[in-house]
Amino acid sequence: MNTREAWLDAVRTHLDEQLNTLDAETLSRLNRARQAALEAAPQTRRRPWMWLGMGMATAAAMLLAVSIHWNQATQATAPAAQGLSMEEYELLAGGENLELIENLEFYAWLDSQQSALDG
Amino acid sequence: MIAWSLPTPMAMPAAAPAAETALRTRLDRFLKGVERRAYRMAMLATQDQQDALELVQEAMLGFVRSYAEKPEADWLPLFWRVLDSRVQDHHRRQNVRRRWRVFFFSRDEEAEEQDPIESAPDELGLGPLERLVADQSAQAIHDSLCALPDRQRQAFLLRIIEGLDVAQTATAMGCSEGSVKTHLFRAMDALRRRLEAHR
Repeated sequence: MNTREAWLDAVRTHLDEQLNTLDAETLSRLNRARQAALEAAPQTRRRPWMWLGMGMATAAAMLLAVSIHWNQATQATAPAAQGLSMEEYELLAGGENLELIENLEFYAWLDSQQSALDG
Repeated sequence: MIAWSLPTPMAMPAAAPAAETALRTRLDRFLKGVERRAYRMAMLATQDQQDALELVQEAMLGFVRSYAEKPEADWLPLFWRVLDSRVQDHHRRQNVRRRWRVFFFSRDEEAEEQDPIESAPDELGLGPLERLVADQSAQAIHDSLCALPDRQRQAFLLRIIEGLDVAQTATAMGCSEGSVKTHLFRAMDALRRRLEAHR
């Protein structure tokens, strides 16, 4: 072993021993520093496609909400057939009522003639 | 219904937590492997335990924020690069502080601050690291390393002790490969002369 290697080995040995003789407090501080650094890792990993994904998820949720609301509104404006009474059914179904509507002017004239005779 | 025929909104980012956990594990393993050596390098540069620990913490944080996404093979020189940058910033701040101190305080006050009794090492309060360098040979090595200019010491530690190649050392130091060789040659020459004389 030549002189140069001897001094270099001495330096290496000295530095290695330094690593193995660190006190508990220093090791604890290093551990805490590492944990603090790792806490920052996920926050830095938001890639553009992840923002796109989150945007698409939001859009899908909004689309779902709008479609549900739309369906409810459509159902609300449809005829509420189940709310009709029997008399109303009869009025709607009665053929004579349809005849009355079709000849409404005649019945109005007839009514005015009757009023004139009464008067 | 259109809404129900769409893929589940959370399906796309579901793989992200797994990837983040894997990255976090790899980062933890890397930082755990390098933290003691980083502390040793910072200690040699600052001669102050608190400063050294703060620099290592800053370096870890800076590395994770800026380079965690880089290929793992590049992590080591990049980490040393961040630490080197923090150490240089520290020296700049120290220089500015020193200039202001010289400007505001008289020499008498400085002499008062440098009371030899006050600044003498506390033999009873020696930690393991200090006990080691109390050995005469170890002390000589420690002094020789501390006496090197920053860039020379960085080149020596990264190239010879950490085993980086010239290109990686250049990346870590933010200089050319030629500069690394120059710094390293001067560091080796200075250390050899000092340590051989000590023997």
